[in-house]
Amino acid sequence: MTPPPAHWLERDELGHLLALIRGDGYRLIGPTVDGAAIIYDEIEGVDELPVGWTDEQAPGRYRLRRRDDDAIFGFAVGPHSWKQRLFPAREPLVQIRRDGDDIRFSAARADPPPTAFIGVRACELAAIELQDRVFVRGPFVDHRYAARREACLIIAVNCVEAGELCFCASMGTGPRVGPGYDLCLTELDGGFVVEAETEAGAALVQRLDARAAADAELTARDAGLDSCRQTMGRELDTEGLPGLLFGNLDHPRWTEVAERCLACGNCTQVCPTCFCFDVKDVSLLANAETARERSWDSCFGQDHSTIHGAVFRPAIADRYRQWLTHKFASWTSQFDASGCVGCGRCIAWCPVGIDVTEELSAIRSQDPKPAIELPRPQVWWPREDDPLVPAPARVLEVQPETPDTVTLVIERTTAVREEPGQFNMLSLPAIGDVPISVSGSGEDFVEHTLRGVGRATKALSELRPGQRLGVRGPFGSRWPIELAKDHPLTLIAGGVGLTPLRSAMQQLAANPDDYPAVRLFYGARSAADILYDTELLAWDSLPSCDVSVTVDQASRRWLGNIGFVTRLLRRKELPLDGRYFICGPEVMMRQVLFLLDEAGVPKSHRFVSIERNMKCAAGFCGRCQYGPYFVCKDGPIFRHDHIDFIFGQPGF
Amino acid sequence: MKQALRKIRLLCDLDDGQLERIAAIASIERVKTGDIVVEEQGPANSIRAVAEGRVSIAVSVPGRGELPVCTVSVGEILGWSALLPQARWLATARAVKDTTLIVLRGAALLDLYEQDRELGYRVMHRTFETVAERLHDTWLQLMDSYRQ
Repeated sequence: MTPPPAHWLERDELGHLLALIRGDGYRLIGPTVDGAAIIYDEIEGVDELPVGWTDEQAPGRYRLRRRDDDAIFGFAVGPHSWKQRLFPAREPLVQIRRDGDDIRFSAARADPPPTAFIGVRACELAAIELQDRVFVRGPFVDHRYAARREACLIIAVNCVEAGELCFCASMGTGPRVGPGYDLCLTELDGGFVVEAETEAGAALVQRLDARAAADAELTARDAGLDSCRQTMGRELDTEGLPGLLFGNLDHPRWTEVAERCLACGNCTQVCPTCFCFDVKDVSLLANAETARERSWDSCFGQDHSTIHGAVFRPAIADRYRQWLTHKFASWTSQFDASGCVGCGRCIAWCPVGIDVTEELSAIRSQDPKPAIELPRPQVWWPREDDPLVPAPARVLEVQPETPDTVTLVIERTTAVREEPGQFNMLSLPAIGDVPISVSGSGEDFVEHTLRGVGRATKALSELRPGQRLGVRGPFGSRWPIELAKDHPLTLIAGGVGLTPLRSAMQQLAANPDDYPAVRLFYGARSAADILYDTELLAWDSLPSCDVSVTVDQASRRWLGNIGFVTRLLRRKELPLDGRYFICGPEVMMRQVLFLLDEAGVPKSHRFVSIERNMKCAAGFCGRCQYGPYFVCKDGPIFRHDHIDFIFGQPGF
Repeated sequence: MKQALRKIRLLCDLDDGQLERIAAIASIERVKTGDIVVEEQGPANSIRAVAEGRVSIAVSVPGRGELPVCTVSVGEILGWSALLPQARWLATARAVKDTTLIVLRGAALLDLYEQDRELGYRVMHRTFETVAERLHDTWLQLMDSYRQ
């Protein structure tokens, strides 16, 4: 491919370029000195750019300093990144209006004005491209992000000087700006080498007083880039890093760094690729109107991993490890690229000066265990519908199951039929939405069994027939029922873990020719907590099904089994060619998997359902991460051998 | 009797000769649903295995009555207290189905262990396995893990 023709733009012409862009209706966002930092803000022209300024950076340190010359782009990067512009720190996702029992959900549109980003560095363009992978190249498209992305014109800048904390050369993201820009400038003495990549960029060059760049200017550009590459303040060996990190989850360095880390989350806020967010309902005017808003979140916060009051990453060491393994390892499985672009912001803005390059080198050099192989990334074909906007649905029926559990029969809102094991997000205005497994479905209805334990599930469990709620989904993976054809199949459920297995059981029971030997082992808290008792009896009466139930606590009136569900399994044969579907609390699943290990059942024959903190359910918000996976899109049903390196591992 | 003994996990490692010696000290007990098999506080003299049916093990709690803590099913044992010196039953066992039990007198069984140390080792090894599993399952029950 021939490189785009390069032009030479005199230094004084930069103002002309910015004026042209403004004249075309773009607002300009560019670097500008504000207080003691160079930030990205709305500018009108060259005067507001940080002419003659540079930044000095070190771990935990960032200072502005006057340069000896009047370079315009003679600095590295400040606390801002373009993330603020494309993925704002706070924004409404859904507007919800309640009118009596009627609820309407509408997408909050971004409607962004055309915006030109002035001075996008190579590492930053790479970061934008990485966030594109999250928001537009997953199973769904985030339309707000996509609209802003569509509306931006990118004027990039090649770096000819490296900062003290830069390591883009190690990450393969710079210093030369990669594809994805409209215009790219290289600042040299007296002017700029200008390269256009898009028609919009080329059209701008044509309107400028720019001549073809001379060979000497191109040589100077390349020399600048080379010198920058060779003077990077930091270096990182990325060879085999993902497998190395996951092979060393118990490395002592995690504890050492946790002693210094304050878990403040600064690193995640300044990181141009971190994308985790939280979603909350903000109510206006007596709950008639509610805005469902997202705001940046950080994996250093406790709420990030909390479900039903249980914190999955309680220690700072867990959270630091989560961040670093995500950035440098899980990203590769999730998005087919490292999540780090080597900008060095997390080092400068860490109040205690933790240096990721140093931490990673320490793990590599201090008695590392062998690397392990991580899952390959999936390729997604994004669905166009907005996954974050619920559809209003009417409750058709409410079936009480136990004193604190009900099954909601809800009218179907989508043409997509839920598969056993998948889940929907159920929501109510001002309360928010929660993931609930599909427990059954028919042509025009879907069933969800839920226990009122938290605010949202309590409110949902109090719904009455005729009332409305929001439904979005279905999301996630399903029980691979077809793999169990011609094999004995054993379903093992604990507590409400029976709900995602119920719809599987319904299908299995209805197809005895394909599934002639199905066993269900079900452990409940007490006789009063047994779900679907009539159905359990009906399944047990079928020649193709065998149902065993046990309870943890019983009164004298209970004549069935008492004891943990593992006791039922110990009494039965566990065939090696059998398939096993397991769902329940993780402690229960772990014990069941031990028994299957003892029996010698291959891990590839076992499937488990994992629960983590799902918020968006569409693969955007990052809160349900489970090692290299997102539970919402890669799970919740996983094959055991795909997760056994993190299953039961504290902190994941 | 030997056929019935073969189905008891406690005895699954024994050879024919050893099983015959066990059979010589074994008797059959049949109980109806609701019948008490052994009663808390009573002298613990025999270990039992369930050949058919199901037995619940319950502890008396003042003010709450009998509180069942686990059930014992086909192939499993109850009453290992009988292997301890001068033991008393720590719980009441009650049939929750019509049940057939194989009864092994504790003193006779201990005598057999003395005479045939290998038999003793094999049976005690399985007894320990059962006790360990039962203890472990009890931890899990105590966790009340389905509450959330």
